[in-house]
Amino acid sequence: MNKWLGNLKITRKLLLAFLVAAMIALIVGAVGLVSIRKLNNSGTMLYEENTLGLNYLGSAYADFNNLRYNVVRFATAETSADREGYASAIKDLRASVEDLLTKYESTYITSQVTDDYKNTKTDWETYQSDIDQDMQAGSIAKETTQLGDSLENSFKKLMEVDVPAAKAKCDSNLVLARNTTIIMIATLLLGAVIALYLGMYISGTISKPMEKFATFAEMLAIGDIDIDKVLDEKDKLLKNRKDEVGTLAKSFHDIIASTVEQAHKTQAIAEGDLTTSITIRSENDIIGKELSELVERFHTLAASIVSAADQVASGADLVSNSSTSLSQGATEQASTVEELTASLEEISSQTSLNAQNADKANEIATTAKTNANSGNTQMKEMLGAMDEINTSSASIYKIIKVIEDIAFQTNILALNAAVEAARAGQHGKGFAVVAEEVRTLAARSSKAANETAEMIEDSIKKVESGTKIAKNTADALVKIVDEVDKVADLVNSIAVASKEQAQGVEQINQGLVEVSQVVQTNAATSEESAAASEELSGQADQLKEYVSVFKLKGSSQTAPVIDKMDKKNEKDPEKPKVSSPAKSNAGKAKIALSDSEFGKY
Amino acid sequence: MAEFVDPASEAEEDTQTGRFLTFFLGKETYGIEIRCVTEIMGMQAITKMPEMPDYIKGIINLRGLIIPLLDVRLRFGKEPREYDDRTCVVVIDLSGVSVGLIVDSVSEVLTISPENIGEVPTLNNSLKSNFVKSIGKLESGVVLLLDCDKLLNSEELDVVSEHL
Repeated sequence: MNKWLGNLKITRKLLLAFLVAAMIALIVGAVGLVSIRKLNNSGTMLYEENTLGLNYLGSAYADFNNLRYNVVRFATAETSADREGYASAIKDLRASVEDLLTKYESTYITSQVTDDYKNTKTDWETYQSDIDQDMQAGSIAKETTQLGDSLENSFKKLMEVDVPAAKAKCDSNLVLARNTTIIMIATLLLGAVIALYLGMYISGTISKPMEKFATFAEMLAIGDIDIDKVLDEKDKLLKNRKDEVGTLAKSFHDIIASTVEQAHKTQAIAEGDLTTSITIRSENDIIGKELSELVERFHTLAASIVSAADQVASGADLVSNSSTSLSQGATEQASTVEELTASLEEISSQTSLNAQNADKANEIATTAKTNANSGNTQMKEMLGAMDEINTSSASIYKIIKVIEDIAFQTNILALNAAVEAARAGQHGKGFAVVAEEVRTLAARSSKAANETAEMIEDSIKKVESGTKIAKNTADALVKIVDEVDKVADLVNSIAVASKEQAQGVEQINQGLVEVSQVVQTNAATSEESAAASEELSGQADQLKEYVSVFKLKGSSQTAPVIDKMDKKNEKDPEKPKVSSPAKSNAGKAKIALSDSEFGKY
Repeated sequence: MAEFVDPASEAEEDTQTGRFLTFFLGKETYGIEIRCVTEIMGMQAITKMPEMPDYIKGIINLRGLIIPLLDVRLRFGKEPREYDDRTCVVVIDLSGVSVGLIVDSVSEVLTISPENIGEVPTLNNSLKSNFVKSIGKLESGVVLLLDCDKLLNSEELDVVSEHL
């Protein structure tokens, strides 16, 4: 049974479970419905027969009482109008009671009631005829009243009888209902239990495997392919089931199997066997394809690294050699630079000497110039003084002129006197003497003036010559000043040139210092470069060693490397070797690869 | 000016004769008898007169007296010279007419004894023989003694006096 259930497809399992549940529900429902129908019928009957009957009866009873009242009133009515009114009322009531009784008849009557009812009906008929009689008579007969009373009692009795019947019916309804309830509850419980059990069972067949699958999936998600540790015997049988769970179990099994295989292959690659071939499981096997491509690329990479390492090694050698020669050259350069620096030092010191001397000469020239200028100034002062002498001489000259004029006038006076004296003749002799004396005086004045004039002229001449000399001296001094200026300029330019020379030498010096530094740096760098190339060579060898871990297709490496590799193999025997036969092949093949690769490049 | 003719005046005339006023024209020394000379004075502002001979430079006002000035240089036909502060005017009396002679300069009153007065050599072309009467000899040189009366001939005198 279980096996059959297990092999059912999940859809069908679920459907089955729901179906069972539905069936149970149906049963329960049917039971319930039936009971309800019964109850319903019973209830309806209760109502239609008993309740309604009672109602009709009650109404008939009321109307009957009303009728009796009206009859009485009719009987005691004073006016014909009242009578007519009561008569019509009586008529209506009679009709109503009739109607009600008829209705009552139609309801379900028990045999007991039927007998009573028949009696009642008979009485009623009698009563009606009695009333007719009474109405015609105009008064109520005693028999009518008695009949009326007995009718009343009959009504009451009927009503009373109806009630227990109704109650009995009601009780039976209650019993029915209770029974039905019990049946339904029982059925429900049973059904629930069955459904629950079925559900649990079925869900178990689905959910437990699903849990396991979830666990597998989690493990696979984190890469753990050791499923066996969470499997138990029952689970292993799962894949034999024919439902979806079985299919899923089978698929998981397949996934795990192929993942295990891929894991093993990957392991092999990780250990260095780049000759591993990846099985591609299908057209859509992306991982397989990519892994295969990865292996290819990695293989190519490793192969090219091997060749590159070779080249690096040879290149490192070259660099080492050239670094050494560079270092030598740098050393020579350094010594040359030293010599240059020494020469420049000398030049520099001489240049500074020159500059100093030029400065001194400049100072001296400036002093000479100053002196010449002061000499010039004094010369000018002297000239000025001379000019003043000239001026005062001119003034003296003017005065002398005046004196001469005075002498002249005096002479003229004397001459006039002489003329008058001559005219005076004898009497003028004394006057002539006076005139003569005056003339002598005039002559003396004139002579003195002349002498003074001569002296002044002489002085002026001397002053002139002095001025000339002074001017010549001034000119000479000016020339000296000019020459000194020129000298000063030249000396200045010498000084400036010396300074520039010194600067230039300084710059050359600095440049040499820099060159020296650079040379030293070069020497150091070439040393470092040589060391680095040594290291590079060592690193290249190491690189080759590292890459030798990988088995390459058709690769050829030197014997020691193979030995190293074999030693590696010996070190790790417990690792699952997927491609150990391939490795020994690869050992020989390695040599070929490096040759061919080398040839390629 | 009045001339006395008496023994005193004869003695005076003797005294006056032989006394010459010497003046210069250029390098030559000229002398003129002192009896002709009225006055000697310095140069004054000349007022030019029209229609006069060129050697008559003009007139001056001498203490109210109008005197014509005669440039001796021009009269003698020499080059005219600019008048300076030495230029003098010798006022002479020519037959009652006062004339001023413009000379370069005056020297002195000399007494020249008749022995030292000589005749004018006829070969001298620089002068009209009218002017120079005789030549006086000095240690320092010669003096050309002028004849007062001959400086202005009568016609010229008339002309001058007319215009005065």
